Amino acid sequence: MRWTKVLTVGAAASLGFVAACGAPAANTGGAGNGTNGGNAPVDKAGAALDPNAKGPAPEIPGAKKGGILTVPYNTVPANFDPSDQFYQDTAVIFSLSHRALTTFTWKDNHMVLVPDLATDLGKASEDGLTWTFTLKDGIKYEDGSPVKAADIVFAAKRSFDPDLAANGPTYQREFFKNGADYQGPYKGDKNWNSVEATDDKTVVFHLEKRFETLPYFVSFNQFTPIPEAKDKKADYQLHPLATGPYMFDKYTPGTELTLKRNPNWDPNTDPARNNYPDGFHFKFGQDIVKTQTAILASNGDDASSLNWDAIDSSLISQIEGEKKSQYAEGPSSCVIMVNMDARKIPLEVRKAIAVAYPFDSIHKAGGETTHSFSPASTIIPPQIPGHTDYVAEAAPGFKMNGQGDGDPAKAKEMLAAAGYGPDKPFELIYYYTNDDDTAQKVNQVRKQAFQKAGFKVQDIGAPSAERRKLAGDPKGKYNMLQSPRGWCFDWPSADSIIPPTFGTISMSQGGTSFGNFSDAKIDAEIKRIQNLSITEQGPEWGKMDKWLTETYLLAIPDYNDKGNFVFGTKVKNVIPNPNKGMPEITKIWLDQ
Amino acid sequence: MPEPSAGTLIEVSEETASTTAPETKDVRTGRSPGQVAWARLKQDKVAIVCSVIILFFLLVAIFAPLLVSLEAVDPITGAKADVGTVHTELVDFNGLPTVGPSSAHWLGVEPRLGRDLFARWAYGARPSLIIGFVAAFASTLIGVTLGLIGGYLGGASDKFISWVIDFFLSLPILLLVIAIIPIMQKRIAAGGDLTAEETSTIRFVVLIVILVVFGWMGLARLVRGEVKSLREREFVQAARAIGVPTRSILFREILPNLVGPIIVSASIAVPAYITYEATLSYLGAGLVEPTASWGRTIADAQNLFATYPLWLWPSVIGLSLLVLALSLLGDSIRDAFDPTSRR
Repeated sequence: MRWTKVLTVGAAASLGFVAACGAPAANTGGAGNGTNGGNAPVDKAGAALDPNAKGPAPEIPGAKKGGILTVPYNTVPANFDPSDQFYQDTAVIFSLSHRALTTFTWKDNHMVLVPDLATDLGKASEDGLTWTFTLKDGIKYEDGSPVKAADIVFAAKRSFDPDLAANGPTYQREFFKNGADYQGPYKGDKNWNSVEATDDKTVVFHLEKRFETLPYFVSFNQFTPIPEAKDKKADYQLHPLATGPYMFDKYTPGTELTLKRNPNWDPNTDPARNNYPDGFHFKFGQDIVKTQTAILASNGDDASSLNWDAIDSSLISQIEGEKKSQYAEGPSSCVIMVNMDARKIPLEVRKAIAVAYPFDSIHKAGGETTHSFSPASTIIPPQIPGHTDYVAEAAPGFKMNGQGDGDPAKAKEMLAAAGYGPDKPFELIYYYTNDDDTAQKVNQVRKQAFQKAGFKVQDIGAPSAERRKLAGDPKGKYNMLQSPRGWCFDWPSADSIIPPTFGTISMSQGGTSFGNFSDAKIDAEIKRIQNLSITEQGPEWGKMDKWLTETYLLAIPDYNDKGNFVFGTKVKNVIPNPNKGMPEITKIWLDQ
Repeated sequence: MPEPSAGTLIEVSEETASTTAPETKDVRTGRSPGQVAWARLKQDKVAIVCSVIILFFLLVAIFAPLLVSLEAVDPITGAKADVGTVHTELVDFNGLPTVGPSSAHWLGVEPRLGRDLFARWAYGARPSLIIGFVAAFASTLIGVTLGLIGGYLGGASDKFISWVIDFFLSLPILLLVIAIIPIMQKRIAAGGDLTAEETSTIRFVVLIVILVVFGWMGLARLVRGEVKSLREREFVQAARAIGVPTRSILFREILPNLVGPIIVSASIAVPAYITYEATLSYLGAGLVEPTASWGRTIADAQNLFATYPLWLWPSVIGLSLLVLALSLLGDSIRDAFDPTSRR
């Protein structure tokens, strides 16, 4: 449960609710074709595995070498420490300069997990508690020194450091043996060896419990090698040693980063990356509208620029019209739900809420465009294997597909049937962000829709940071819209979606979950599926998804977030990565 | 020369003086400074035009519900427009209105929410005017009182009041106001939970209080200075000598001489407060949903100006016109009270 994307305060708050792991970007109003969020079929098979992939990465037909790709965008990375960064923008940048044990690549029109520094995707022991990765030969850092297994072990340990890796992922704590309290190589137990190097080429992971998706997890930049002797701790982020096709050239924290070619990268060892541009120039903290307008105009350097912020509504007429070829969009990893507290709201009332909920109005009021979301009827997003496409019914004939503006009359009937009427209305209590204008507006829309359906509404205002705290408290006063607002999966498998959000684990750790509900049946089902092998898990998660919504309706599926990319006329081959909602940057080339 | 002739000479001169004096005296005592100013003001075309504009906005604010009810029933929603109800069926999926200005919506509807823009505009005049006038009245009251006390009593109390004035003047107002509003809101809620409507009401009151708290010093300083010079004048000393109580001296003798500067200061304060309210609401520190406010509308509408200018214009024009009219009227009043100004 980590933020995978840094967002501007405005974008995150403009939804009025924040996803537990990175809120989707939203933008403001705009022209459009008047259809509900583009429902282009989403590419499936995000989790294909190709353990035998060999370098070099296949050439892209017609691609040319040379040029500098400029990437101006809105957010500002706090640092470039590979142990700390767990955000979508820095992950894309690291994919150019840093190689982990495994990595994702775009192959035959879908994302495939391939070995990167390792020779394969890891070998699990019989009981699934020991995983072994063997490193390839001839891998070097940018300074020419060889990469050793101990460097990966050191990096993995470093990701436990409470200071250096404060914002990093927490899966390693949950799954690595004795990982819960480990404090990293500097502050922690020196004898901790749940990740160890048995020789210069072999990395072994010892696990607390089965972790079938470990090969996905080790694709994160937390598993890129860091030589212990050259670790400058907090200053390492100024120039983390590169293993990928590019290396840090000039980095001005908070302002810009330039990458140049890494002479010690051997394409023959790398099945994932192409290296067409001569370098990259990332500019942080740029104004979205100005940047996107300039890129669409494509004068001078802007012709070789790319921006991955959500498209501004004022530019929609351009990207739908004459500048269509300079725009791409794809699914992102976030699924957004309408959360309810099942301990406080009975199932019949939850269904009435689903019938009354004004999905379309809230999208309109929140300033989301047809390019920023696609309505969802499932918990698992379509790009994940095992996604079962179903539309559950909250009432006979009323489909829960994240569309429409609800049916207040029907909701009233359902409430009456459940024993609530005008003399004894059901009261909905929730927190809303009161220091953001869009959130206030969204709240007006939601409140009026609930009242129309016969609910009594107590909307409690709180500033955004405080609201997050209040809504994330399992003992909070609310009975709906608690955290999480949504979930962004970390790897394309439903085991990074359902267990952390519907299982009891989140509640037992003092957090909130979808439904705030502890149910032995749900936990047993999660446990059963987690013990299956990766390939068998998919369809089972899909079945569980349907079962959860139809039987429990702990949260109402709302929508899936989208990534938007605007680029200059010289930028070619921008492929949206459905697992991250970001472009597949190593495949981009520039027309000179 | 014999002395008596000198005596007659004097008498003669006194007589001539007494015959000419009554004429000029009549002219001067015929009109008080206030009457003079009023007469001048009535002749001032700018002042008349401004008064009409201000009266227009006052009427719009007072009769906002009536004006809004004059709009026709909307054919799509089947209801008459009002200030709060959202009608998202009137906007498309990118938030742009699908209906233009019509008999049901004189100024069209608000992007994204579909609320009636004329209703938002008419009701939006209310907080501006109420806050402007109430805050101006209250800060004038405080400023005059403290100025009178400080200036007349002198000594320790004067020093203290001057110190307070200087202290408040030295505070960076805009910064403080932005910081204080949420804090005061929280204090008033006293740990309790506020719904949107309660928050909005509290913000309204807090805004007035803050504008008053940070707005009285200029006038207090002015009044204090005037009182200091007035209290040494003969008529005040005479009143004191015959034992007139301090209260009467302050309100009967001194205050009437200050009416001019006070009215001028108050009339300039009103547009200043209106601007302040709009600025704070624009910055997000002022009024919140669901209260309609011009400042908030301007903040919302500016991003969509290129695509939907009708959202922005009414509030911008309303605010500019009202503030301009009030300022020019204040200027005219100042001119009217100023004995040295010639027109």
